[in-house]
Amino acid sequence: MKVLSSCNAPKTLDVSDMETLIGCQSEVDIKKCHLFMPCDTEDGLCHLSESSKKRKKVISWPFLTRRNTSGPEILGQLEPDLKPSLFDQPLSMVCNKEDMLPKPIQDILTILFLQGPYTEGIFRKAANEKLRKELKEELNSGGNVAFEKASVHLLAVVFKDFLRNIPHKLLLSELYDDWMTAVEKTGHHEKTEAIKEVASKLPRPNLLLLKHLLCVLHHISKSSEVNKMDSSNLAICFGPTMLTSDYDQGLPLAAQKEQTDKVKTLVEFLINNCCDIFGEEICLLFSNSVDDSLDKSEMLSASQLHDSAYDSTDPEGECSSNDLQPSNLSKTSMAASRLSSRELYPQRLLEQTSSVSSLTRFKLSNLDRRFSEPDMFSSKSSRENCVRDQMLTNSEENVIQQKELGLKCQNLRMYVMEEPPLPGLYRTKKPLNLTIKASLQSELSSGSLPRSSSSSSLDSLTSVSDNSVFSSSPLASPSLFKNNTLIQPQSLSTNISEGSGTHIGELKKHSVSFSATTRKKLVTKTQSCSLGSFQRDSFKKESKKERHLSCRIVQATYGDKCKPVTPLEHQHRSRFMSAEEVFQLVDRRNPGKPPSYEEATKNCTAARLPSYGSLAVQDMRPTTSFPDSGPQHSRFDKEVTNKVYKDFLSNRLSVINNPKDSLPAVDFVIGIHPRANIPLTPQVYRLRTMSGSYQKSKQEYLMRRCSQPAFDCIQCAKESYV
Amino acid sequence: MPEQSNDYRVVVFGAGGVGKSSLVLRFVKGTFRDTYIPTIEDTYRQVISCDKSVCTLQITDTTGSHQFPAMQRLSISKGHAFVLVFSVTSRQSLEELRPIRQQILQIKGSVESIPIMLVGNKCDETQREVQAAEGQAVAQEWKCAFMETSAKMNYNVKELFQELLSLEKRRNMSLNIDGKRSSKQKRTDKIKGKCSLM
Repeated sequence: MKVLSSCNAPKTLDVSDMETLIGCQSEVDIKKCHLFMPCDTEDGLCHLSESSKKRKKVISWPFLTRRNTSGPEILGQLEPDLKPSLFDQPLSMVCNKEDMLPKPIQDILTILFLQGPYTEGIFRKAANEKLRKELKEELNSGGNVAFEKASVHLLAVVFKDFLRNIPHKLLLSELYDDWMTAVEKTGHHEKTEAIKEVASKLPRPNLLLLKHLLCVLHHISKSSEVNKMDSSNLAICFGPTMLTSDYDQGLPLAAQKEQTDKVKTLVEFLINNCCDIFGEEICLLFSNSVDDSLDKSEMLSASQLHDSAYDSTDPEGECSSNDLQPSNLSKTSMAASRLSSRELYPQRLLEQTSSVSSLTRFKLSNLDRRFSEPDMFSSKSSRENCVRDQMLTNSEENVIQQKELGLKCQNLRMYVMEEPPLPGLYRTKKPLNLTIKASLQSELSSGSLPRSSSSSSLDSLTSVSDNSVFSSSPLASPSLFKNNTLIQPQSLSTNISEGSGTHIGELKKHSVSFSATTRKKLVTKTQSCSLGSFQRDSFKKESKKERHLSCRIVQATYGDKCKPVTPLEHQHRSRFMSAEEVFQLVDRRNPGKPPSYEEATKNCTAARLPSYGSLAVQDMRPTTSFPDSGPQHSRFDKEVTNKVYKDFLSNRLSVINNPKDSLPAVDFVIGIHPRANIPLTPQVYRLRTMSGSYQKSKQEYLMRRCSQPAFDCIQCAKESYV
Repeated sequence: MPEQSNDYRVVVFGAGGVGKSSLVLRFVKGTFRDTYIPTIEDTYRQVISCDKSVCTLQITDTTGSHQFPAMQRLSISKGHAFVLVFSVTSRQSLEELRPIRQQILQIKGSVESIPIMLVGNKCDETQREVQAAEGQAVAQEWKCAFMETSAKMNYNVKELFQELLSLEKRRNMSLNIDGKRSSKQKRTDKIKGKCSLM
């Protein structure tokens, strides 16, 4: 693969070109970051965007290391941090948002939450002192740190360092006596009550961090047979970093030790009874911040697998890692998700370069544990479909949000950097029709129910065929692909953050497993490869424009969009609102000098939309018809258990006007009546725009690269299947 | 440095999980438990002979899991001799000792007259990351003595402390109280490199 990619890279993209392009982007992006950052007061927005940014970084990391050694610096450049220093600061200083931990801390905690339980001696063993200092420096300087490089122990040590350096400590040395009095109470209930009372005296940031920390520690202590760190051990290692008395220093060793013992007792009690003290929801803290965990899990896999395994920005992989989040909710789901993710990776490794194969070793050790739950895939295919569809629908918002918040700058960059190797892959897999067929068959066989199977196959088809079709046709855009890839992961994160919580998490899991199955049948490769290559192209060329465009478009369509009444939809709406607000804010703030392109786009939005539609009709057909009408309907039928989702679906259905009947019609409707297909339209539009612009610049190239016959075959296959 | 009373304080440093407590417990109680309990800080006392009389050997088993500069400084300033333990299965644990040694140097001013033992523990383990020669080299660089031990197999544990005491030139100390345990003396033959005196 490496060879191939190197051969192809020059064609698709000149490295130096890319660099300059990146540079330009980064400048713009930085500006944007500043502009948008303050606006993300909307609940979850900030979180989401941050996490998505992170995720991109994770994905691209292998590439950075391989291709571009200057990657990390650029990254740091791109992300101006609002907080200059992290250590030795009062918590209230580092937590600028009331309910948000500093992002690095949140990230570290999430990694620890995910990996800690399986790391022996977590929080006990030392890490490299030099690396620790470097990491601390990095964190303090506000740069964005590549946590995926760091070992768990290093992160644990740095985190403890962070705790230790909080002035007055996390539990406040002023409250030392209160804590001690509370912990000396006899009787579980009295103790709990007393501790609750003391905890209520903590400032909000402290309480927030304490809850997160206890969540992690409690989670780790539950796996003490693996990591050997039960609550007592953890308390020993953590106690002194969490609380010391004011008059600590002058005391003799013996007295200090006595104090430490008491603190240890307190912390142990806190860890063991955190649910009693702070409520059951404390254990779910990290399931709320799905995005982050996603990133983390991905990091894990990425870091473990290293390079090429992670070449493709593959949506399924991300999905699977997403699943780790819900895993907090239920162990089974965790196992399943892990399973799926594991499966993806080894497979891809095999398929791809031999260079990677050595790296698989890392994985394999973990595999055993994770394969404990063998097949959730086929049985749940229907659900998976639903998920997928949802992902598609959500994707627009996600993408948009990400972009709007200005955090995406990095993501885009990442994509740019990471893609070059992919075109080669794509080429190697050129018999697209073959792959598609395979996917079809696999889908059919996997789906136990006709409905579900058909829908699933459709979905996969659309994704696969979309790639091929659009890539081959001059009008169709590589951006389509990009959208797909981008969208899916993002949508997942959105779902979870939206708080539909468990249900969606489950759904996600299924989707992941589903994707895993498809991948097994060799479809994956092509998909991801083609995706990547196209992504890169489109991103590179259009990233700036496209960003603006998409944002605008969504805004325009927004009015049409938010008819639904259900909670889910409502949430969506708020999302959109926020997006709009962001833009308005930006406009207000920068009335004199919006980017010229942006302005132009804004002005033209109304005029453009129809034209997109008309242009798109043919190309759009596959996308719209498959994901939207077919799968959706089947999903609707199948999905009885998940109420939330059902509501969501029904809403969508109502909006769409019975997609089943109008299956053929829907295809064409999109262009004419954007409203009819509301969930997809923005995306489509964006695609169109991107494709259009892309076409101008890259048409020849595309033609050269993608064979028309293949495209035709795919389309035929699709249609015949329908 | 105040030479106070009869106590002779030995402080055991090392990264988390290298076996400091195991070493100390093996020496003090003669037992070994395969547990995994981090230490906060424990102090053990034992009577030894010193300058033709007896004194208390006070062994402070420190924590390796979290660095508390304040506590560490206190331990160092009060300690007479130091045992720096690493695990031969972890190069990292050897690296961890550098800052500690630096701090000793800083607080004590000079390490010339201070007995310091570099100890590679878990030498019974087959999966070595640090060879004995490397430990020896580091010890030479640090101008201290080196020994490999195994608390689990009770290898070189007593010798370790005997050697440490023998390094103290300002006092004449021995683990043996007037030949009571003369038989133990023979074990010092196991010591690599330096020979203990009496």
